[in-house]
Amino acid sequence: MLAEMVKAGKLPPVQERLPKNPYVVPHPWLKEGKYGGTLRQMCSSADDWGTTHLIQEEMYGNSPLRWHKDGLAISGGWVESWEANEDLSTWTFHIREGIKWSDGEPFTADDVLFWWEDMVLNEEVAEGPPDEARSGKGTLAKFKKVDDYTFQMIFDAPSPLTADRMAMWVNRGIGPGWSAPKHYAQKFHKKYNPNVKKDWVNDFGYPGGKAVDFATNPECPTLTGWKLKSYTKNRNSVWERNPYYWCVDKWGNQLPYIDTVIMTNIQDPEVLKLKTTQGDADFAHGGFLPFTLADVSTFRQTENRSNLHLEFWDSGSGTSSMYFFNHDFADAKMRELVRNPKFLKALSHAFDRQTAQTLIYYKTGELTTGTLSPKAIEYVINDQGKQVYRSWRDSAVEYNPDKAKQLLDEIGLKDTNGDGFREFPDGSKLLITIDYPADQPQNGEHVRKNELLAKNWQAVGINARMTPQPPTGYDDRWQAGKILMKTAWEVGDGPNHLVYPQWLVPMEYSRWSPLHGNWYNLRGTPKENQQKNVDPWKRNPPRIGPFDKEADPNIKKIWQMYDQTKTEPDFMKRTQLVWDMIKVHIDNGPYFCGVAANTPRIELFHKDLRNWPTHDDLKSWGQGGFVNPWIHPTPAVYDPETWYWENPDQHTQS
Amino acid sequence: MTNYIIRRLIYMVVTLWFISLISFFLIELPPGSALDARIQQLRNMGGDMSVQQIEALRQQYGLGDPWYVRYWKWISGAVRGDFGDSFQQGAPVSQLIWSRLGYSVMISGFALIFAWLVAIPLGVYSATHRYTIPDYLVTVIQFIGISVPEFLLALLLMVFAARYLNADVGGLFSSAYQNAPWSWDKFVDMLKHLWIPIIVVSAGSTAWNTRVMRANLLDVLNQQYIQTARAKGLKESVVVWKHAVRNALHPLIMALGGVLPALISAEVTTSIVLNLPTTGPLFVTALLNKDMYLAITFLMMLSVLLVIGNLLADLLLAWVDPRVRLE
Repeated sequence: MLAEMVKAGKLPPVQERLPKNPYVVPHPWLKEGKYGGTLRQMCSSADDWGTTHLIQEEMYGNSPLRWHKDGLAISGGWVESWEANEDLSTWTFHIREGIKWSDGEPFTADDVLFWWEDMVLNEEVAEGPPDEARSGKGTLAKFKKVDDYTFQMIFDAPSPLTADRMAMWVNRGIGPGWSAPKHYAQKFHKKYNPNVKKDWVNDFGYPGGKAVDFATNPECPTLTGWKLKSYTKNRNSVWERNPYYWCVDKWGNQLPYIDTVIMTNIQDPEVLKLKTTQGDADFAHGGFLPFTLADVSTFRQTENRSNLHLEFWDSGSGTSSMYFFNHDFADAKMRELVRNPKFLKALSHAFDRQTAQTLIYYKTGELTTGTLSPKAIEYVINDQGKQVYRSWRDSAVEYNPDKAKQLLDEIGLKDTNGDGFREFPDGSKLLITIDYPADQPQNGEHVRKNELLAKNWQAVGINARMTPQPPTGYDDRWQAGKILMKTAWEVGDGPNHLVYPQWLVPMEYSRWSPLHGNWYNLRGTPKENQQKNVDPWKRNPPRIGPFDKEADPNIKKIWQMYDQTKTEPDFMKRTQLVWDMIKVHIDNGPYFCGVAANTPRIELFHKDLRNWPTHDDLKSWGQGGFVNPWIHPTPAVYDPETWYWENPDQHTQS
Repeated sequence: MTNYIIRRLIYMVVTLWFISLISFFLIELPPGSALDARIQQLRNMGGDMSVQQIEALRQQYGLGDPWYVRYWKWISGAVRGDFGDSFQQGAPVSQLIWSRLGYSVMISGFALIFAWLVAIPLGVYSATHRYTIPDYLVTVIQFIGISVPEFLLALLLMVFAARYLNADVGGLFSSAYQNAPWSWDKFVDMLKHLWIPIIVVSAGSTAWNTRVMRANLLDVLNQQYIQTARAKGLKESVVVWKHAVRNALHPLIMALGGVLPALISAEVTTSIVLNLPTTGPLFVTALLNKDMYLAITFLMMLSVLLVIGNLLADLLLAWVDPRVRLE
């Protein structure tokens, strides 16, 4: 396809389009491919999310660094090499020389600095600075351009995790930007073009910002393997090969092999499944689509019609469907109860995970109390790590209703009025509301797990009731301490506890300790010490600081250890701190509980498609897959640009 | 006559104003805002919004204001034609609705014409050949058509078409033509996809129209003037079509009043199931996500069309039936 354009003089020959040292995709299962063909995909969402963002998860081109071997290593992306000084406070990054944007203009350090100075630091543009660019002390790094292909990030304290954190996400739309096409975007920016329209900042937002969002604007340059050709809002998007993509395979062939990628949006999930079984898609990634293990039999039965081969990749989930209590619930009596480790352990022992695993997950995965991903590096690095994982996983996993009843008796929850349910020690009624958003599908994993929870907890005398809540405003009420539980989530995160520690360390308001999380987030801002005389739940935003009597000293311990990891240069010492934080969870929790870890995800590949990794490929190279976390972008980590059609002529769209 | 029309127009404006107030208030009632869905999405991808960003967005979209302030902001723009921006879709409301309106009107229009073309002859045949086998057959099919929910019918037809006819179901175009410019091929492709939506959307109203037609015609055929006409020696077809049917049509014409809003909302659940690019699904998502301006604009559009439709139906009835006097 491109050869004709070169002959016609519209495109420079391939040697001139590639950088001096293109990135060579190193995966061991690859074969040399054939050019041509179209890859059709479908997604299901009520708005643009599917057609714009899901397809970005397939392309790693905009990322400075990349995860390798399912999170066990980091390799370069558009950054060719990097180094840090003695105390890891100054990081120098060398960009591959000769990379060009999809419109042929060179990619240089100017594009990185433009993003930093004119988008992040500019107060009118709403792109917040990524946490990766903050030092352990909370101050922003300084970016410095050394030359056209080298830039530095200078922190005021050692920042050992910088490279790991830059490998997260596909960036530019999902995750922080790290770069922006200066030559294209500057005409939309007030600093360079005083004649811009009044609301020019809207052009710099994701999604939809004309200057930067290459997933909605075909003219916006990108570094990914495919670039947007056309796009109909909510319906579909069509992507064609980027002639300047800077990656090759081991045989020196410029990627991608496939010419066109089409993503079509089907609003109703059941219709999506129908069309998939009819063969309307060539590739379906279970990580984005509403496929559950219950659909496996349907896909297997319709294999001949759809020509799709079913493969399982590990999700890497630490919990599958989970539940957790609001550690900062507004009512003091209930709050004291849900902060009591015996109560949390009792409820966990009362939960029959095996039945849940059989019914919902078809006996896949391993039973767990609820941890971060078992594939995280702190668990796999050595035997001690494996031991830590096992101790967290098994800390309250045993299904033992008698033990649960005994623990509940010890706390003083007895059935004083003979109604069959336990009351508070002072005799008042105890009702555990198993809250979940009302728009959860009734036969989905979360609602079905909740049904089992209600049954199991009632069997040990706890009056537990499933309580659907209106989905809008859930988080507002959560952080006001008005909702007791969250039960429709899962923990996917790894590959490294510290690059995405939100489950381990309360640092924002949507997880198990919203008010502590809010305070942590405001450290270093004026709000940290304001409103001290106001009731924590009435502050704006609601928060609990260490000076409040409602503060939990265990969380303060976790914060202290976490702050230490931000500036600890030695990897094993950081890992030890992570293990110590986990110990706090084990002793005082379980703060969040799950069913089974590492349940599989469905992947469907057309029988004619090649170069995608099988589960065995991933097991021998990496960890068997790590689909769930968005920070480890699947399938981008397996470079779909290397995939090719065995018979490209049979797969072209006219 | 003119007095009547002017009076009706004044009533319409007052009614519409009340509708807008009450609807706005009701949509605002549940807790939360459109911002929540966006934050949730962002959070699922780990790109958390900072507290400052959330505040800024709240200010920009006026999500913190009390409902009457937001109502005033909307209504003052609406009378000038600016219906505000959709928060969730990130585009002006008028642009979103306009881009889908064509398809909605087309599908509903075709369905309406199809329903009438099928229902009236079928109803007349049913009435004139009462208690015969074809009549029973038609009756059974029509009852099924009224009772089966439309989305279920849509699903059944889709599965049937996909399995046995090897048709490409879902959506109005095959993926090849989705983004292509209009051409004869694209038009033909659309027709190939159009038959399922038209059958589904018209199923309910065809059934209803047929039943009503049949029942009314039976009533009219028993009237004395029909006997007179037959006694005068007129041909049966003239008696039925020129005299009886015209009088039996009145309920159908009155029902037309409700057709105008249906033209643009085109059966929401069916559109979601069949993945049609119509306005219905847009409306539903707007309501579910509290996307304020989109929801209220759409609701107002439907209300305007309803009241206008009713007025037109009344006028049409007056024209058809000389017994009706407009007060």
